[in-house]
Amino acid sequence: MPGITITGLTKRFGQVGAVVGLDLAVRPGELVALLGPSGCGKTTTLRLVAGFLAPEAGEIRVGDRVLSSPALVVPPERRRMAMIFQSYALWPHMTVAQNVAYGLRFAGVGRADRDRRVDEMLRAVQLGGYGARYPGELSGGQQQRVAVARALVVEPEILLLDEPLSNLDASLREEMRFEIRRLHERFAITTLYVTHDQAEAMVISDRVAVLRDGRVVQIGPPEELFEHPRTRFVAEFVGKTNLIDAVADGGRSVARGNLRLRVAADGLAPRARVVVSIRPHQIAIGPSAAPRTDGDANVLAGTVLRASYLGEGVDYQVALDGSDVVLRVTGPAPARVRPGEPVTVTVPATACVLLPAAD
Amino acid sequence: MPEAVAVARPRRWEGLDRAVPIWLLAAAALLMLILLPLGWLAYMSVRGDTGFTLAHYARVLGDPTLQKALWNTVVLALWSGLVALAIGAPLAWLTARTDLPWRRSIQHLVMASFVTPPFLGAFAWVMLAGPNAGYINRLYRDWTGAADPLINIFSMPGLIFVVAIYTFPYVYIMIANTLGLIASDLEDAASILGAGRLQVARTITLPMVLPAILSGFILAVLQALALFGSPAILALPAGFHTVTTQLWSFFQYPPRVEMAAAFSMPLLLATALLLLAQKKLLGRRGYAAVGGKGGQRRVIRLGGWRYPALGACLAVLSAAVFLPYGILLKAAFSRAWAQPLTTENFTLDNWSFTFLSLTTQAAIVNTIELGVLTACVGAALATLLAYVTNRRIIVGHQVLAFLAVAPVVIPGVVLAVALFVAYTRPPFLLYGTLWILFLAYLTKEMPVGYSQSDATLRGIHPELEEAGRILGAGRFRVLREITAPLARSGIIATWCFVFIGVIRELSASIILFSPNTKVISVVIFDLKEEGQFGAIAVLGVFMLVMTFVIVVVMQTLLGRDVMRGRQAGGAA
Repeated sequence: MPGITITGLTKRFGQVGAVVGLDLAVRPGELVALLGPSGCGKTTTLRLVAGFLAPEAGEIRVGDRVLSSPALVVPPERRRMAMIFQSYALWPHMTVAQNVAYGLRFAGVGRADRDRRVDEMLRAVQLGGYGARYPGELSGGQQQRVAVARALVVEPEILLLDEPLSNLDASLREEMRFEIRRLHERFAITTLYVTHDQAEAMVISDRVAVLRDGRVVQIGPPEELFEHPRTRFVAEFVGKTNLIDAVADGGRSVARGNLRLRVAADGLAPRARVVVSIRPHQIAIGPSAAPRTDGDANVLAGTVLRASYLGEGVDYQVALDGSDVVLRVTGPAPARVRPGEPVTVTVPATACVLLPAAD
Repeated sequence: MPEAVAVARPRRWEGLDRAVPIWLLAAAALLMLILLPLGWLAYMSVRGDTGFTLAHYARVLGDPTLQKALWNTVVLALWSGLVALAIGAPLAWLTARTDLPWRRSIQHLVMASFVTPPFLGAFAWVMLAGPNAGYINRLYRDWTGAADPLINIFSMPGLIFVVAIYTFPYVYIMIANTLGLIASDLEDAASILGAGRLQVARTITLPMVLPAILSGFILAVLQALALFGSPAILALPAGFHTVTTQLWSFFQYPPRVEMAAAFSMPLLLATALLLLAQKKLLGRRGYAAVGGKGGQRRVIRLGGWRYPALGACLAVLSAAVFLPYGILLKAAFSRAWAQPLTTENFTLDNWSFTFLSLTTQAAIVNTIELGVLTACVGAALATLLAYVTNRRIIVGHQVLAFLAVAPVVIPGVVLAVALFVAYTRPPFLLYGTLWILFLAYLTKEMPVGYSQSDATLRGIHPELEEAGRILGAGRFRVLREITAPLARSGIIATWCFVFIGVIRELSASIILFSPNTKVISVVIFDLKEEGQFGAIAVLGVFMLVMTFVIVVVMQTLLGRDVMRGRQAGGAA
């Protein structure tokens, strides 16, 4: 089982650089998600890996085989890969079984063996008995499963997925996330997964690569990205957060006007400009009647501006007293404080993640 | 961490796309098809005995007779466009938006007028409204005892009338398609804000349809400009020329090719500018709104106007279809076409006479051979080109897309002049063979074929092909096993469009034929000189039957109203 090594990959469309000097290493058997907003180059990267596009610079290697370089691009059909497309790309003129069997014809699999493997795979995606149907007769979720079966049955070296769940409705999408993860754990194929949905990336991947303007800005396991984003962009893109521009106050705290926050880092250069990221769910909120100092935590007084009931929680906006900062805070439902009421919010120093001011 | 030390480089052939020669070949074929004749045409128009000269232009533009022909063409084209608009626009609105009775049948009959070769219509109208023997004029004289004819079809108004009744379908299709796409909620949105019915029509409906109206008008003008058959049949006896008939007469003995080349240019320029204007008109605003999804279209009640409106539609269709078809059928089965169809006057001799004629037999064989050959090569080439441009396979694919539709601006007669110049000299000596006709038809039908193929391939998501590639199928296999089956009905439609276009072609054939390479339309034209109206009628009916059989076969095979998708076609 080979991995994928991408070095210095560059692809331009006209003057616009879609991918600019992108480096990425996917370990054998690993599932890496390419996460980013539209236009960040994630789909272009995937299509470069698939061989549908030729790079202007850089190299794509699978194991020790160079598959793409400016000099030479191995065509897609000789890459031993499989791909699941956003549109599913099921052939409407072939039955489900014919769709799934298609790739096996080029893998040197005999006819009898082919039928058996198609059968097994259809059962593995819970579509046993659907072989004779046409794709047009299936629901969206079933079509999705056929696309998955068609890609997996050839036992590819590399599996590529291009926003495969974006055409499904919300509940089905959630179910398919787990399904794809389960199949990955069963087959352990080296996988690149393109998505713009951070929740999807977190559920599915071993590691997430966040892309911006054609480059990888941070790569790591989902927890690491969420808890230790290295840039403002990553902090904002992966989950909700409060971002506060501040200035280092020497030692272990930062300041913004009258507001002082103890943070997790040590040895900050005085007067250095920083950004503090605080996740809304890591902030505790309570009536102002109970002010107390809590070890290393920041205890701040404020006023509730708005409380939005979300079912599983309540989303507060709290204006901090004596500051222009408005914090978003996620508290448990039902709401314990109402708009206009004074509150105390408690922010542990460890929840205050420092980021560089410039992005 | 040093990974594998020895990196395997793929061998050269592994990266080679074996399909590239095919794409390049298709592109080269198109380039040659278009640029070679047009290049020669331009060259001939400025070639003098001692080098470059503008003398030909000076002569054609300075000659009062030719100036008159130019002016006649302008008059003909503009008036035909206006009349076509006056007929086509109300008809489109009536069938698309109102509760007019027999709407479907009227639509089908408009399409019948659309596929009728205009020169056949012109012949029919000679029989109907010729000043002496014309059927209508005879009836008029019998009834009133008048000495003068009611209508003289051999006149500018007569020509405009005959051209308009066969070009109004272009206006009709443009407007009906657009009206069919405007959902009533757009109009309802205006009503709910307080606009009255007339205000809605003026401020919402009309502005949305206006581009279609103008562009339909331009298409009709284009058709009228390029037409050869109708002016040749109606204007020449009336003693005046249009540009197309004038170009043709340059090829009567002794041929004056340089003059023809120079005189082609104004026509070429005019059609190019008109088409550009039409593109601008359609492309400017975001008419995506017109494609708004799932909107209901409310039917407007005509009330007391239902039957008068139906009467008007039937009058138009009588002029375009019923009367001409009737007189052709009658003439095909009569000894004397001008006499009533009695048992004594009934005969099948016209049929045996026509089909036993060796010239006619050869012409029928030639026509069908050329039709099949052009349709096969044309459909294949158009599909390949549309594939290349849609999938952006080679550099410069935009140029190919432009070139493929460029022949729309080349009137048949001009194309013929260009081909004549290009293929009467080494290295291509094709004049006098069927091949020069084949090239003419292939070039002329390329825009229609390409547009149809382009629409087909747009409907096939590229991911369907990519899914095949990534699973191990090569480019050719994917084309064969995935693209071709999905594009099948579209390709069949392309084939049929090209075939129908070829069997009715007159304006290029009339210049490029030789005694051994006559086609049906040319034979019909020759028979006119001999006054053989019975034989003309027989061949006309034969041609119409062939056309309608193809249309019906195509519609049953493809199960949808394909004719409606066709917007810009070539004139006969």
